[in-house]
Amino acid sequence: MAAGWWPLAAAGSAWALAAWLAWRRPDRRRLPARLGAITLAIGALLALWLRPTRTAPGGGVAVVLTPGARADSATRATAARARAVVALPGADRSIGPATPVAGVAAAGALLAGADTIVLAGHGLDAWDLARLPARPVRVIVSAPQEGVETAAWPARLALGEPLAVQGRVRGRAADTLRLRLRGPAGVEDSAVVTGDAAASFALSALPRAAGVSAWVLELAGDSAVIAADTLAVDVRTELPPRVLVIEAAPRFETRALRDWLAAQGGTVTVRSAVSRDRSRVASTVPATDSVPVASEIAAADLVILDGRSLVALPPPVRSRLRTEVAERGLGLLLRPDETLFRGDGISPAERAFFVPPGLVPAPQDARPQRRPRLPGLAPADVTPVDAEPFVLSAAPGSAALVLEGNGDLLAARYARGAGRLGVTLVAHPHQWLVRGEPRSHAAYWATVVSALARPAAARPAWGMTLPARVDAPVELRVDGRAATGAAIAAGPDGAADSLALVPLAGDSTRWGTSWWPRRPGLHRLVLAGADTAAVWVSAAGGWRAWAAAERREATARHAVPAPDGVPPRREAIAAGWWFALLLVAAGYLWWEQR
Amino acid sequence: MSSTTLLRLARRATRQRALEAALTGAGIGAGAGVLGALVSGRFGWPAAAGIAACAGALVAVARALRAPVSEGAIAAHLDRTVPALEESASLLVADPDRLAPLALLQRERVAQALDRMADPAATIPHRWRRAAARGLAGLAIAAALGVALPRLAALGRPTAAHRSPVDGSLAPPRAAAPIAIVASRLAVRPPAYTGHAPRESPALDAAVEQDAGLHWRVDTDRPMRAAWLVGGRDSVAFSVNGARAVLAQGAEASLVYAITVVAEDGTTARTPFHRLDVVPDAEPLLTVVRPDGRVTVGRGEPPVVDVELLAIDDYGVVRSALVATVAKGSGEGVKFREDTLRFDAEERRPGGGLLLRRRFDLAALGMAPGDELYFHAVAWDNRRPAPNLGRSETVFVTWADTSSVTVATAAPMAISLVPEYFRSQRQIIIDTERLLAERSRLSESRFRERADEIGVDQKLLRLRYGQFLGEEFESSLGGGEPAHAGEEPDANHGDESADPAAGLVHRHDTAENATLFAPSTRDQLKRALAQMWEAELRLRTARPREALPYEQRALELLKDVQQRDRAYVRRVGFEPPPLEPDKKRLTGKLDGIAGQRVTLPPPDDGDDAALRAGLAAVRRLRAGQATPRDAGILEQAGRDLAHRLLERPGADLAPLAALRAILDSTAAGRPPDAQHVVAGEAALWGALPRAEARATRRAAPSAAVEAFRRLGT
Repeated sequence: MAAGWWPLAAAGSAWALAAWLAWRRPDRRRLPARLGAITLAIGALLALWLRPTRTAPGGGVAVVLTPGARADSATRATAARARAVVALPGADRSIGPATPVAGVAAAGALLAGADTIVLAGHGLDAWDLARLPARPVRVIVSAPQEGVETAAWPARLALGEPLAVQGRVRGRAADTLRLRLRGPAGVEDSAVVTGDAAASFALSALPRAAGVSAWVLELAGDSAVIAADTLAVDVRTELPPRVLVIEAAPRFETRALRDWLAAQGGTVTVRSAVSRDRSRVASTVPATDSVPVASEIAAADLVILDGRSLVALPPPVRSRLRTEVAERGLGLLLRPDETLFRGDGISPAERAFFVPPGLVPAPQDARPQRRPRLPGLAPADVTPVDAEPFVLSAAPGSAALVLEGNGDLLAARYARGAGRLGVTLVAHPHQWLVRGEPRSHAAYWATVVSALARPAAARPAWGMTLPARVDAPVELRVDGRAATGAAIAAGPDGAADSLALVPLAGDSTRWGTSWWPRRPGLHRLVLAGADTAAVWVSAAGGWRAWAAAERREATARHAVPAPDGVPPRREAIAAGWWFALLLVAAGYLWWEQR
Repeated sequence: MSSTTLLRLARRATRQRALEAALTGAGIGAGAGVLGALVSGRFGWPAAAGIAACAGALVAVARALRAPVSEGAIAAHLDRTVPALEESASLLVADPDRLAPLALLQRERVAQALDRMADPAATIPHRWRRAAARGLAGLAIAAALGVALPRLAALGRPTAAHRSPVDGSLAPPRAAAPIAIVASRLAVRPPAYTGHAPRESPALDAAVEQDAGLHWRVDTDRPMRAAWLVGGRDSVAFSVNGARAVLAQGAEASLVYAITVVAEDGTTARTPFHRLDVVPDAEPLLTVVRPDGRVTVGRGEPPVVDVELLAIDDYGVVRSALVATVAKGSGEGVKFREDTLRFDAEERRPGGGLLLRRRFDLAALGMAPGDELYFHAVAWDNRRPAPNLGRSETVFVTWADTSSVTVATAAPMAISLVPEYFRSQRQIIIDTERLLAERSRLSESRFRERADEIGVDQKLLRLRYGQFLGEEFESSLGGGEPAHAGEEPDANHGDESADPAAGLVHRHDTAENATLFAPSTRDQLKRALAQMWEAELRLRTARPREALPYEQRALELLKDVQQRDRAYVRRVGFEPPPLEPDKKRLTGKLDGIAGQRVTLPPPDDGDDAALRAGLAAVRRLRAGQATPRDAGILEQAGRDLAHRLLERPGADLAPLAALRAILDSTAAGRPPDAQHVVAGEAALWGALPRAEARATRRAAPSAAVEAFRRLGT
């Protein structure tokens, strides 16, 4: 009845008009009856428009048994007083007589009459909570589910990068459990889980081959596996950056770097000065004619050069190098030498660009060898190598690339416009190869080259909410300018779902959609112009602890403390009555007119 | 009587029809039998044709006999064909009681007419020829089908593996029971020299002696068409004789293998994978018990060296010898002589070893003081046909010599070819010994003076050697400044604290940095200098008797250096071309010198390429995206995996079986079993090393970051 005054005004006007017409009729014997019928008809029309309400009779409590509900006293007592008890799939039905329903939508009629809805167990997902009738919701919380509650892992890796899985796991109060990361060939890493409090974990493994591989997070006791959840990782073999090495004299170091990059299929060009204005160029790119160094700089993703070579570059080439770094994202790795500090050869502006402020000659008593800390390797596994006689300290805009165990900087990068300048004090990484430590050599160069090289061209890339489960929505997102149209989710049996992407609000470069997987197994998300993404869809009961934690959290947000005195609930009067009244009144008027 | 004639005629007609039907039925049956045989593939078509023809004839006869020709039909036939019977032969089969008198009279007449007929049976028509033609046509068609159809079917048959056991049948591959291996044995006949007895076992896993004869025998439940030993690089065919296949081979290299048999009907069976570890015949191991690696026979010691060696071999040492090399002479005139000697005694040890003894009499070998003997032992085991040869380490024996060597090329003018510093120490010893001998005749002052002179000579000699070690040169020869209190009496020590660059420069003239000599030679020279210093000290303080042992020790050390030089310096024939620095260097001219551009070869795929390709193939299989090349890729990956498993004793061979099962399924056109795919993937994954870190390109900055950066610029 909050529609305002104008429906009443319209109804009054209509009544006045009809009454005037009835008054004008010469036969006034049934005038009161006609006026009554007119009043009833217009009143019925008004009621159909405004839908008046009435106070509903008291509804009581409806209990929804969700997965995780316990047969404890509180649940039993509440269920005993409830006007309706429904059990969702997966709920324990031994608590009491309950009506099994397929889902919240199917339970709508049973819950509609209740004043309050009580959720027993872990609760409902957010999308199911939205389907509940608008009633106050109370929760009877059950014990958390043991297993992995949250986890984060990279859905895609480059071969050689470690797979790091971090998250939170919940164990059992009286047991000591072990969380294992199981790869295709067995357990790769594990952690001990004690107590029933949620604890953080971090597991890692090093994939051995490219391709999509399934990994299992397994929580197990002494004899049985409590929970096993699968995740998929797409390991790609990516071509390394194109590297140009300019050196003042041939070095064994460059040869080792060249072989390492070439073994990965990379493009390497080494320009070694052998005399004044004469160089020996060795490249994996066949070229018959001599290629100017400026062209090689433009074609590279990373240029590695020493101080002497930098000073010896012709000024136009140096300027080109600077432009490539600052404007086109080229990476530059500088191996310092005393030439940089002589004050001749390069202009002050160039010196400010190429020589970072934190780089100074080392004191006389500086240690000739340093032991870097390298990713993925224990400090004891890395032997010291010769270091350049310089000291590198942090400066504004710098970031550490390689540190020594005592925190000294051994390699750092500096922002230079779109590109990056790197400086390394590690003089002879190939000493690791000589000593039989190829992993140290690879780890060092992978760290330095990957951090400095020109970034890859932007391509649309997938993002999604993981883990994916059957009958649970996965929010998909495509970041990229060219992502339009429909994507395809291809299942393990070859069946494909077509997913229409819609642009996300406020950002024309991001597209998204929701996907409800129907089959478990490995799926591939394919979009023209974008990378293919691999997703492992677990069965409906997969990631049990994670799903339980999400439901508990969503239900806690949705739950409203029910007040003691429940206000009377009002419900709309059925429209059929008003319609029948309209028919009777109109029928009388019609009969009286005949 | 006439009714009897009719009955006889009816029976005759019935038999006649049955025979005709039999002929036709046999032809039809023969054709059907051939078709049935070819379709079913169970029988040979001739037999099937015969059986079916008989059956067809029997069925036709039975059918004809079930419906015999009646007398009425005969009578009707006679009415149509014999006019003499006036179309009244049917009266003969009618009941006479129901006939009218006139009919009875006519019946009587017809009976008489019938009896008058000479051969009533001739009136019954027969179709022998037509029936025989039908039968023969049926048989001919059956024979044609039996011969022609298998040949036509063979034209479209892709492989012999699907051929039916019955030659000539048109049988598609059917689900017959596959062939089964009922027994298998491996007999090992070790080489005779090993002394091991031949052995035979049903177990196909074995560790066998190198060059042993291997004999596999496989029995199956039905005749085989072929059998193969699958493993290693090439599959080897068995010799098949019915249901038994044998293969004889020599044990050359370890392998993982399986035996595959193919039955005549195309079904196959395969054993699990087995290991055959070949234990190589090791070469004899010779250990020098005594003496140690270097022996010096000093002055006054008997020139005898006792040698003991222990020779051990896995099957026995049959021959041994000592190879001795005698080096005589010094400097450039060293001569080498090599002799092969026998051991004096051989003693069997309980553990199977052989203790070899020999006493070297250096003089008997023609050696003299200053000569050296290098020897090692060799031993041969009993391996046939080519024995293994073992060799011990080399032992050096030096017969010490303290005498000088002087070579005179002309009588009037003796020229010493040995440098001066190799003989002066002996001169000092001679002078010292002479001074001691003359002491009683000399005054104290003269004695001291002569001792001091010898001490000066000793110092000169020490300084001369010191130059080779990069030591400082002392300008004052005698009566120099006394050593400062607390200072070492060593002329090498200068005041380093006064030199500000002492810690920064590299001194090439210090003894530690001298690179003229090898470290061992340098150390020995330093010890000789120390001995000279001790001798000089005592000579300068007039104690020549105390100085004499130091002088002699210094001489011994110098001689030892001389001998060692001879042992290690070997000339090589390379003569570098002469350099022309005055023409080539420091001219600044680059004419004729061009830059160089080389193209690096593509990188090698590495040892793991086959395993990585196999892993990718297994994953394609799992995803249902297998390609025709995957079978070959998996074969190669399986071979590489087998070789890696061979390097790990006791390794589980189940992964190989899984890969083989995948290949079998793929070859049969069936999807591989999921468990096998998982096991195969796990095996290939586990065989790969963990990937090294690789260089990658960092991700592109987001559009917002890029826009912000552009704003800044």
